[in-house]
Amino acid sequence: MSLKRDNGKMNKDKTKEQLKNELVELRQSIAGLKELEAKQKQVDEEIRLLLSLIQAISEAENLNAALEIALKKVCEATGWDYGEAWIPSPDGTVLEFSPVWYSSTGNLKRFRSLSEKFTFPPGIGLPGRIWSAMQPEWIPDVSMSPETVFPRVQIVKEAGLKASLGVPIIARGDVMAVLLFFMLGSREKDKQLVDIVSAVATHLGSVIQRKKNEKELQEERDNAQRYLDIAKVIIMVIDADQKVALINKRGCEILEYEENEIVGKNWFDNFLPTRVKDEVKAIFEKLMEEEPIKYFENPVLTRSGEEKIVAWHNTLLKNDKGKIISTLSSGEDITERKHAEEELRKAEAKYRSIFENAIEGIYQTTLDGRIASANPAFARTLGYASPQELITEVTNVRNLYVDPDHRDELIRLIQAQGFVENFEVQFYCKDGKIVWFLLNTRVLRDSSGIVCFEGTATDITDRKRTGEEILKLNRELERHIIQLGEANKELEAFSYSVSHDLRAPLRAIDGFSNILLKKHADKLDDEGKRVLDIIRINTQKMGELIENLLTLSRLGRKEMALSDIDMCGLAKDVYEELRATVPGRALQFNMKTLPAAIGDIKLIRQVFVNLLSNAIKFTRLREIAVIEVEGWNEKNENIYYVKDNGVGFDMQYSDQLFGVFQRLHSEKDFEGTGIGLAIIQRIIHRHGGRVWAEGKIDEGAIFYFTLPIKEEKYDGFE
Amino acid sequence: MTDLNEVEILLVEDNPYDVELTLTALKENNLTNKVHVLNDGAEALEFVFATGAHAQRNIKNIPKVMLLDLKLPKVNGLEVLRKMKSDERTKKIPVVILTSSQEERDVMESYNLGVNSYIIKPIDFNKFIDAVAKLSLYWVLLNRPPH
Repeated sequence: MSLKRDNGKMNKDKTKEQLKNELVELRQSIAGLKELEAKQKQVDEEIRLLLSLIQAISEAENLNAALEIALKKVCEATGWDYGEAWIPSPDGTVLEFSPVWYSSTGNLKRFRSLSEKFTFPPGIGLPGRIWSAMQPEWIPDVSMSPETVFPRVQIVKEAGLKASLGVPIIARGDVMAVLLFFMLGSREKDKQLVDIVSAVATHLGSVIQRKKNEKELQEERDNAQRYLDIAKVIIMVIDADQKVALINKRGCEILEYEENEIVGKNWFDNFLPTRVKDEVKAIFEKLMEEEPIKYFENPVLTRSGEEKIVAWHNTLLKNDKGKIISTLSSGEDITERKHAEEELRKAEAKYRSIFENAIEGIYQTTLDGRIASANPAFARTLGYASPQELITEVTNVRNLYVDPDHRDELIRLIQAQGFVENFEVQFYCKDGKIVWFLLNTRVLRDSSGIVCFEGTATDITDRKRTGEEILKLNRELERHIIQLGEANKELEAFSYSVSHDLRAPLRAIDGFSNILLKKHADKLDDEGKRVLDIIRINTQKMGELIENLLTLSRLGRKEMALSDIDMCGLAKDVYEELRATVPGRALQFNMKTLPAAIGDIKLIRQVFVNLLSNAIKFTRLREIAVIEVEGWNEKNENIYYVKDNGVGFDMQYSDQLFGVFQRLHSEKDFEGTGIGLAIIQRIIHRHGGRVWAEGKIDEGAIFYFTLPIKEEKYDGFE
Repeated sequence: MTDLNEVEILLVEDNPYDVELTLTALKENNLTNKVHVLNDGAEALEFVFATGAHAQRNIKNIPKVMLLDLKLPKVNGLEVLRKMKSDERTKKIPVVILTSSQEERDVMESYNLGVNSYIIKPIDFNKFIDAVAKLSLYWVLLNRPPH
């Protein structure tokens, strides 16, 4: 530059010497100018090289492509015959041979394939030294170098390469690569050339650095997107203008839209049910004003019109200046959980209703005797206005027990088997009354042990009382049965002795009266004989009475032999037999149809004997005795009657008719023991039937009896 | 009194009037010669088994018929019957229950024990005479006992 300035100082008044000197100077200046020109040209070339390099490297897709371009351009522009690159190994211990290279001449295949086997640790060989020093190095002729300086000296000799320049490519303070350039001829160090190549290398470093940054950023972006996509929640950014700036894959899935159908759209107008739009918008606005709303739930509207409930957590995004620009929300689809909660709530309400309205008492008590919960029924039964009153006033459930030992026993049983069924206890009511409860209790445990006891309490006070009454009645009944049994035994013993002991004296009276009449007749006058006859008649009479009484008593004990009975045939038979005993009487027997019956034929025969003989007896005063027998079926029984036109009876005494020894006529008018109808009644009752009579004095009588059709009613308890 | 080894009718009856009436009935039929009367069940057993008061009697001489009342002092008639009918030496003695009892169970029990006949004493004297006469004639004259 100084030459240029001096060039302008030429003077018109110059001496020859001066001119000569000036000429020399001028020549020198011209030379300088030429030099300057050449320099300028070189700078221009450098600039051009750099520009084309920048262009090319910037467009390079990766490091290798950039290196390849750099090697080629440097060689072409600055006269190098061969360029290669060395790259640090992934573990950073050595430099390795790079597949990228450039050559303008000759066959360097052998050199390359042999070089491939070399690696250079830091400080070793030309690449290693450049790597360590991070400085360019020039060797005028590598083929003359010792092996310690240039390990590949042998193969480089063969290749004919001599001058060599190595430069590091530095990015972020690390050597990314070492570039080596070779010439076929030897050459001293050219500083300018070193500068140019170094400048290229430096630029290459910064390009690589930038490329690397871009790549990392892209990777980060990809990662972030991946995280967003694999997230199981909706992640969404809404800008201040209410439009969706970002939504992840999960969000799209839930809303059933494509990402581009959501991003850029107004969130509130498009993806919320109308009824909640304003409400949610208000929440958003509050959020944007930094009101602390961390969590809220709202329904969203999917493409198909379905509503899903989403629970949102929110945070704010701010720009560099701290201004809020958007909300970042993560949203979880809790529709199913909400439904489950709803179901749970309904179920809870249902069970709560059962609990509240149950007739049975339901309770939970703690191990230390507190009532943890009780339903209204339990409180009510114990006389408390509310469960709360019960829980407050009964501080220890033990106090409810009439016998507190029962509580201990209950707990012992529960602990032993985990539950207790139908445990009967007496509890005191609020007013001191005692109620019986039937407890069904089980234990509730968690990992720490017994939590509480819970169960039901059924008020069995009434049942108990009824049970006790039944027990009492049963005891009474048993006593009665025993008494009845004893009475029956007594009756049997009685009739047995009647049978034996009462008859013997009668026989003696009759026998000896007879002997008196026969053997001592000469000592008796007529009156004496008449009196003896009276004695004998009464003896017979008493014998008959005893006979009938025994019959009656036996009827109650004798087992019945049931069979089908032809009632017509039976009645006719009996009538014929009886008619034969009264030959002089005029009898008219009207036999109508009688339904067949089931019964003990001997006993039923006795009924007809008694009824028909009564009919014959009480019609004695009639010129023609009319006797009628009939029967029919009615519901579950057959009704039979025997009717006569005899002396009849006064209906007001009809209830006495069937009693033992009950007679409505004098012995003088109509003989009889007064047992006949009692026997009929006993027989019919044993068959499960009924007897009754209708009559009117002097207008005859009708005696009815029924026999059930179904067998099961026969022979009931007598 | 009859030789106890030749007794044909053994009457076991505690009621003296019944005894008298029975004997009257037998007398009317000339059957009183070989009648022996015992007044209770224990005595009846001693007689048939030839023990106690009757130890001198030969057990092999058996009466043609025993008329046995049921209601007897000490040992009742059914018990006497049971012992006699369950012993080889006495089971062949024909036993006729002559009693006032019409109880079905007495009748059943007697036949179960092996009674030969069961007669209910009529209250009517004439019927009673008739009954005693008929049964005695039957057992003493018509029936052929084993030897």
